[in-house]
Parts: sequence; C-alpha cells; structure tokens
Amino acid sequence: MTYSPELLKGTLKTIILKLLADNKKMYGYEITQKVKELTRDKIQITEGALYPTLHALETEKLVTTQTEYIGKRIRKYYSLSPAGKTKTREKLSEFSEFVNTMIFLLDIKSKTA
Amino acid sequence: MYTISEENIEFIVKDLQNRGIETESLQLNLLDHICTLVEKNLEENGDFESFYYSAIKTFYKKELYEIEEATRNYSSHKNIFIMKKAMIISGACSAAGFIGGSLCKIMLYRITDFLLFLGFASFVLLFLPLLFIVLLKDFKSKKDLVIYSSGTLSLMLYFICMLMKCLDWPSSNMQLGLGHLESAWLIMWLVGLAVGSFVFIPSYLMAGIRKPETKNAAIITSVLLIAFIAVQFRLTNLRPLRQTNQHAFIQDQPVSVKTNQLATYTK
Repeated sequence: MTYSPELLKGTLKTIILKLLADNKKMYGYEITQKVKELTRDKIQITEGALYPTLHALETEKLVTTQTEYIGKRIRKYYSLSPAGKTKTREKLSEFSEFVNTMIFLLDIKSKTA
Repeated sequence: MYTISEENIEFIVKDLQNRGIETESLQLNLLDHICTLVEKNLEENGDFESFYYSAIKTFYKKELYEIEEATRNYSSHKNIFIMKKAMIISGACSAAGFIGGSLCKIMLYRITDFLLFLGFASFVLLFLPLLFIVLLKDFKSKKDLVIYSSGTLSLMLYFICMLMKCLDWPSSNMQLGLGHLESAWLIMWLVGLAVGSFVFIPSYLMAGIRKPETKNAAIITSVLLIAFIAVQFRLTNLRPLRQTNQHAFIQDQPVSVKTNQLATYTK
C-alpha cells in the first residue's frame, strides 16, 4: 500500500530534513530511493514534490549545496546547515506531538487494542 | 547498465526547456535525476528515447511545468515574506517619525522637520508601495487592481504634497499659479484628489455595496472619504492670484525666512 500524497503533504520537509540529518549529504534521486527503501515502498516522494521542496529549503537557508561533476552533468548534493539542524529538531518534536494528538483525537489506540 | 552520452544529455536539456523548465538549479536537478534513473534502470542496448518519455510522465500530473511553477511559488512566497517584514519595519519607522515629529513640534525642537521627513518618506516611498505589492497576489479581478492601484497612487500623491507643505518647501502653496513654481505641486495635489474622488471611491463603493457583508462599511467609508476630499479641495484656492512680484516672491520662501523678508520689504 502506498500512502496518498494528501496524507504526506506537510510532512515532506520534515522527511527530507531528517534524512539529511542522518546522512551527511544527499542528492535528489538518492533521497527518493532512500525513502522508498526505508518505508518499503509505502512512501514514494514524487519529483514534482521533491525538487520544489529542496529549492524552498535552500532559499530558507536550511540546507547548503555543493556541486560535483558526474561525467558531463552536474550533481547537486544537499546537506544541513546549522539553522537546518535546529529546524530539524523543532520539526521532529512538532511532528511527534502532532502524531500523539492525532492518535488521541482519532482514538486509534483503543480501536486497535 | 546504460551509459549516458553527450547527445542524450543535450536531448534531455532541450526537452526540459521545451516543457517550460527555466530555473537553472531545477534543470540541473532534473537532468541528474533523469540520467541516474536511466543509468540504473535501462539496459545497455535499451531504447533511450522511449524509456525517457515513459519515465518523464511519472514526474507530473498534467505537465512538467507544474514543477517549475511550484518552485517559483516557493521563491515568490519567500519574497513576499521578506517584503512583509520590510513593510512592517517601514510602517513602524513611519509611525515613529510622525509621532516623534508631532511631539517635537509641540516642544519646538529643531529635529521636528527631520522626524516628519522620515515619517512621510518611509510611508510614501516604502510602506505604501510594499503594501500594494504584498496585496497584489490576493487580487482576484481587474476591479481589485483598479481599487488598490488608484488608492495607492492617490495616497502617495497626497502624502508627497503634504510632506512638501509640512516642511514648508517652496512652491507648495494651495493656490493656482500656473506658470509659477507652485504649479507642479498643485498639479500633484489635484491629481491625487481627483484619482481618489473619481477612480478610487466609485470603484471601492461599487465593489463594496454588491456584497451584503461589506455594504454598510463601504457606504460609511465612502461618505467619510468624500467629506475628507471635499475639505481638502476646499482648502485649495483655484482662482488666479492677483499679487505683486514682491508677494509672489515672499510666498515661495520657507516660513522661517518670510518674517525677515517682510521686515525688509516694509522698511
């Protein structure tokens, strides 16, 4: 089962920031494959969502970039900036609280128990 | 594993450009993404073009330009955020200038003119244009554009004229004297009032009274604005002046020097 894009909306930045926190530097294709691998294909980040989000993170100075030539093309690697590290902690804490609230709100524990 | 050739790269770049991908960093990212995808999934003797066309389809819902648009939206959101901050700062400077200038005027401090100038300048040159740009993205129709642009223009002209008047700059008399120095000031003043009266108020009122929730507010605001503009217009003397050269010369001077000059002339 693959989760719907609507469900993933709003979590993409958190996912990317956390991946970059766990890996020193990553490029776009690598991020999509890593997410697929970690979630066993349950979450698939589309290119249409990934690159605008990476661009936004770059504009917000949460990530830094470095380029590398791969043959005739350029590969752009993304890594967390100091501000990005702080933001990642904030986002994770916020998301954790959100999940707990949703579990309580939707009464998921009692139904699954 | 397929090896990407220089021709393949040129083909991809050209196709991305044809599909509306113009942002350079996005082009680089997509190029690398597609190349990696091809290298990892296409066999050595595979058909590059057919694989490319089937792969690129998975990138979008309707067309590839969606990615470009989304990227640009993020950038413009960031710009709007910066502009909102600048607008708030300029608004605060303006308020501080007006309040400080008014207090110093009561205390008869010499810094009054500077503070008033700061207040007017930041209001006219920064706050109003930034407010217009920030609101621009919320415009739903041409009517909104007419209302906000005429309102901004009218206010800018009004406050520029008021700045000249308050600081007692030469040629800022509320009297018609075409051919004299004051004509530019007077034209600005009248254009400001006219745009407010004949463009802003009618379009604002027409838009407001059509919605039940804004009907009363639109009528009351329009009446207040008409009254305000009428008072301002009443203060403007449109009759040609019958004045001697001496009086005309004195009128064009700042208040501070008028007294001395009058004393000189009356000797």
